[in-house]
Formats: sequence, C-alpha cells, structure tokens
Amino acid sequence: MSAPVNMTSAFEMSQKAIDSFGALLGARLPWLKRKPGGHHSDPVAAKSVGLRGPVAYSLHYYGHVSHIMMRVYGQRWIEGGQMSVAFIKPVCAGDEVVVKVGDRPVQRPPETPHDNRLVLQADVYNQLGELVAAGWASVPN
Amino acid sequence: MSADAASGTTQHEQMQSEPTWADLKVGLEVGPLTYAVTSEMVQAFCDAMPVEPDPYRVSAAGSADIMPPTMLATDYVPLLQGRLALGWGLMARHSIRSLKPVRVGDTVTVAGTITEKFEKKGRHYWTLAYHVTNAAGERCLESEISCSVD
Repeated sequence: MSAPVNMTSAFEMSQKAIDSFGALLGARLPWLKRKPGGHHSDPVAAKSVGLRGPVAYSLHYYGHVSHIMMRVYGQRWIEGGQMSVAFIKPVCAGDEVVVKVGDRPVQRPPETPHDNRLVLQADVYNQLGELVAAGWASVPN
Repeated sequence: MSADAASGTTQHEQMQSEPTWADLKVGLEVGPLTYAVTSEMVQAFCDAMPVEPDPYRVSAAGSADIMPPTMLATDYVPLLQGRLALGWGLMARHSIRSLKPVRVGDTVTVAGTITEKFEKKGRHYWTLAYHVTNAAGERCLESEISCSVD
C-alpha cells in the first residue's frame, strides 16, 4: 500500500523555514512577547539539551497532513475533517521530511467511533526513514 | 516539539518570573484571544510551510479565502502566555477537528481550558483543549494539545 502522489509531501526543513514559521505568530499577534534564540534557532542551545540541532515546530510538518487532506478532500476536510498525531522524534533543521497520508493501514484507530467516516493513516518520516510522527486523519463519507 | 514561544537562552530567567507547571491548575480557562483574519496571514502561512495556496482560494462568488486550520491551531502559544513558562519540552500529541471554514475577513475568538496534568517518565505534561469561534458564535475549530514542559 503506497500513498498516491497527491497524498505525499516532501520538503527540506531548513533553518530559514523554521524561522519563517516561528515568525508567523509574532506577525499575527504583535503583542505576543517572543524572544530570539532558543532551541528553534540556536544550535548551541539545542545541543545543550541533547537535540541534534534546532528543532522544527511540530505544527510545521504536522500541518502538511492537513494540507494534503485539504488538497484532496476540500470542503469535506474543512467542514468535518479530524486528525490526531503523536510525536515520536524531533525534526531538526536540515532534515528531509516526508509526509504520507493513506500510505498504510491505520495503525491506531481513533478512540471514539468514526462510523461513516474515511479514516487514513498519517505518517511523517525523516531522511533516515525514521517515523517521527504518526496518527490518523479522517473525513465524513 | 513544543515550547514554541520559549527562548532557551533565557529560559531560566523566564522560569523565575512566570508560572510553572506546578502552578497550572486543571480547569484553568485561558483566553479569549480575538483577532481578524487577513489574506496576508493566509499567504504568510502558505509561504512558511511552504505549500501552494490554491486549496484555500475560493472562487465562488461572495466567498473569501479560507484560513488553513493548522495556522489557527498555533494559538495555544498566546493562550498560555503568562499562564505557564513554556520552557524546553516535547509536544506529545495534537488533535484537530475542523467544523466550519474560517475565512479572510472573519473575526475569530480563541479560548481554551487546561484539561489534564500528568507525569510520565520523569516529565511533566499538560493538556489544553481550545476552540475557535467566529463572530456569529459558531464553533469553527477544536484542538487538543498535550506537551511536556521541562
């Protein structure tokens, strides 16, 4: 079982991309106090807590699951879509990220019944082929 | 990863002046946070991801572009500001339920509740359930996030 091309997303999680994503909240909510540096941008600070390098924001790569569902299912996604993902390993600056939806059978079904819904496995991998996040996404039938 | 608002170099300083996990109470209500959605927000989000904005562009007459749901989900950071010092930590789980589109021009209100605190493998976790409503009071998005804070 492999994900169709339009249900896969691959990209480099560059430091520039992490910085751009981090700037979104500040641009939207100027009053929000955000200080520069830290484990999203400072390699030394990140390594001091055992990380390989600055880490990506989870929603940055998790958001690609939603984007794939929006691209494929449109209104069904925006007016009834659900997703839930557990995070397994960090994604760091420079990692090559691959997001796949529907690439394999659902591993852990939703805890609540999803009758009359299409439920798909959602996976995020790094360049080593390691699963960094996994869960499911669903839309009404 | 969580602690998206955190600055590692100033974490100690933050922890001294901001509430910690121990101060956080289950049942604490956070927000409301209100803002207007703009086309610039949608474009900035698509640029940062990066993803093509086409799926969020609505061609139907009278409709405005749609805000990507995951952008709205980042609002847990401002909701918790002043309530918890977001230090180093791991995002454990995040769930989203999209109910109605949020469109450019909409004014939305975001609010939430701390629903759980727990310890696991020496880490302290919190869970926040939060939701986005539009100006008509219709619920558009529900999210739940569990993170550690170290």
